[in-house]
Amino acid sequence: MLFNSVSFLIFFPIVFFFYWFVTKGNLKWQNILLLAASYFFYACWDYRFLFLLIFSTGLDYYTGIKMDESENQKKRSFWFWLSVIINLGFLGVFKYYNFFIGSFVEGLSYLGVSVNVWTIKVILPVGISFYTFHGLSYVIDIYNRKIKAERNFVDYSLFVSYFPLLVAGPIERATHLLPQIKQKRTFNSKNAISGIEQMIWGFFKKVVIADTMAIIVNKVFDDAASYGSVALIIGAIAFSFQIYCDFSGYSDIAIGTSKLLGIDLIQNFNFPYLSRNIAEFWRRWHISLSTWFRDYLYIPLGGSKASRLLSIRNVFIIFLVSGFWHGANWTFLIWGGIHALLFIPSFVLGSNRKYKEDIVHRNKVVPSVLDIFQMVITFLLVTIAWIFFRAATLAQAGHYLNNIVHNVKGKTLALENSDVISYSLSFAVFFTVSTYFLYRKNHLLKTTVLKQFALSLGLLILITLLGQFSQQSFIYFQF
Amino acid sequence: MKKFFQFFIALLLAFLLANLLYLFVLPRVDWEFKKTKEAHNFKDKQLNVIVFGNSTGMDGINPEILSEKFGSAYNFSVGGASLQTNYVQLSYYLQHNARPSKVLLFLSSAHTNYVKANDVNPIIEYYYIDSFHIGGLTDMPLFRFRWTFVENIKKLLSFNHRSAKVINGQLQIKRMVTDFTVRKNDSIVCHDNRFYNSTGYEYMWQMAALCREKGIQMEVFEMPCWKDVQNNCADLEVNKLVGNTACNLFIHNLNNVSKCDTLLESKKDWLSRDHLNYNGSIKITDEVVRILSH
Repeated sequence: MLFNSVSFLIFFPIVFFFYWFVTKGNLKWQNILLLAASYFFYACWDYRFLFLLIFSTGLDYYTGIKMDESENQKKRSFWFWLSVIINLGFLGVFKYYNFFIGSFVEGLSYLGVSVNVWTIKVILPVGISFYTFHGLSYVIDIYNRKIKAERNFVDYSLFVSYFPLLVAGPIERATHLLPQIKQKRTFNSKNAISGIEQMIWGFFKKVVIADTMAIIVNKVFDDAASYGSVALIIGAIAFSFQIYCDFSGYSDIAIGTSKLLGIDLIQNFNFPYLSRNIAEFWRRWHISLSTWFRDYLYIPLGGSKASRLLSIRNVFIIFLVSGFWHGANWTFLIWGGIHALLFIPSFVLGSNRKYKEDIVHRNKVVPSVLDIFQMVITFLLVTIAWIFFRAATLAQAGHYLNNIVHNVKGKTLALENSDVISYSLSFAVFFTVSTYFLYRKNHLLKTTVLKQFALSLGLLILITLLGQFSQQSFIYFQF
Repeated sequence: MKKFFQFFIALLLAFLLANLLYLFVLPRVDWEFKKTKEAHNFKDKQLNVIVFGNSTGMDGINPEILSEKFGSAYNFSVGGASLQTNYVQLSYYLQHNARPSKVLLFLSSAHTNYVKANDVNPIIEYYYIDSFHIGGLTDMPLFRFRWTFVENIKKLLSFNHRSAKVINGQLQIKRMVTDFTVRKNDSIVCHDNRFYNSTGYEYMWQMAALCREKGIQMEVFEMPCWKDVQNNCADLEVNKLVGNTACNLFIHNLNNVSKCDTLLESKKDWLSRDHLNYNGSIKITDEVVRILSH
């Protein structure tokens, strides 16, 4: 079930009604209802993988309790590694097996050795990377004695399977979500109104910007050889906006939906394209994943506390793993590698923590010329890296970049006037509303119900007039 | 919770109101709405030539020139019209008005609109079939007539669009867009009788049967397009048995390379890839008059 589908428009009001009116605030029934709704939501994709989700949930629940009960470090380690190996094993089989086998066979073929290896053709269970990371953070936190194991199976299952974040995050932590699941929830109108507003903004980003940009992006990337430099540059920039609006749009809908159920989810994006260097970009892009890697991989590896050389190694590891998390393809690894290379200079020079605040924090409504210059450069670097992320193969990405430089006289996009007007209007609204949210977040503008009403209505009208309604799936579902 | 529901219900009501407002405004500002309303209101009208087609016909065929030669004419073409749309318009016109002597149907040069048989332009559906059809969320006016939003925005942005007029059903726009495309001689396939007998053309034959039944001469034309999609195809006579009626149609190819070269100028006559501007419409309608006069 997609957020941008009619089924969700029917599903969610039913859940909302039962959640607030039928359960009458009984926490136990609310959680059972949410869990059942979450499993139904997930089963709408493929009910067979529901068993995998339940198994993974059961495994982490059980190993968590076993670790908690055991004082013996060896036993704790046993249960910990059992959970980690099985979780990563599932991820490995479903997501990476064919990639490793394929790369191995290809490697041998370069040496002139031809091997026939059995590969399995499996469908990637939707959201597996997300719920596996939920579970892993939980067992790691128990192992590190940061939290106690959850004894209530329904509550724990809901933490893993909560439908707004089940298939594409944000990747929540037990320390943040579990206490909310165990706490009696009261309806807060202010939060709920803000939830509605955030959902509508998410829908706008998805169906008006991302899905419209997808038309240009697919056209250009599918026939990159014949398009000229200008079209290829527009295609790459369009993808930057497509992926941002697609993913942050999903996060906004998830967070907004959750607010209506009285549960706050963590922020996943913070105006990433306003970043002044790559380090700042990674503090603003897919925050729940980058902080996950920081806390569960980078810091355990020694982080920046290790020697300079080891610290650089650690940076490379988290960026490469982050790339690989996105998919079993060399393109994602190279994408991660490019970000590591872009990050290293500021890391070595110690400027990676330079920009920790929004530009408006310095009481400036408009950024300085230097700020704008840095933002543009960072955006362009990120856009070049996105070409690898979007391309089907490394060769395709290479050709794409090569054609940007050499194929000046290639095909143009030949957009109709109506398309140009429609895209310009959509982007004008997108930039205006984004700026409004930036100022509002930094208390330069006040939030009033009237403003929220006007914004929600305006966006709803524009979604209807300018949106693409082919129900395109969200990009991050594939991860 | 009360405050939230007040907000939510007010939002839904305001959205509903915005839909109604859109429906109120469109017939007052939108060319196609105005024109369709005008054409729909014809009662006991005596027109000699009536023109059908989609936006290529609406921009590209000048009824004033047709009137000079054949008597009163009106261009019923509307943007995005399918052949079913044209059939609905023709049958409604014939039910309420006197029989014309000629029905001219202008097909889009790309043939892209005719792959589906069943598809009626929402404006025609609104006036001719069911004004308040409510079958789902897509029937909300803001959604149902969504393309007209950008079309009307063009009027705010462009002087040429603001100064455009609808006269006897033709949308007369003077804007000029140069055709920079290059001819591709090898890629255009000429269609045959079998092609025009496919399901996409079902309603063209329904129109033909209706015309034959009423004794009206019906002629079909393929509209011209930019150089890269012009063709070397000859005019074509096609036929089909519709019910018990044997129908014959002559498809005059205005998209033929030599015709386009003789008639049209790359710099002066185009509005877009397959749409003629006012200049182009005069030239192509003169050619239509010449063809019909022979």
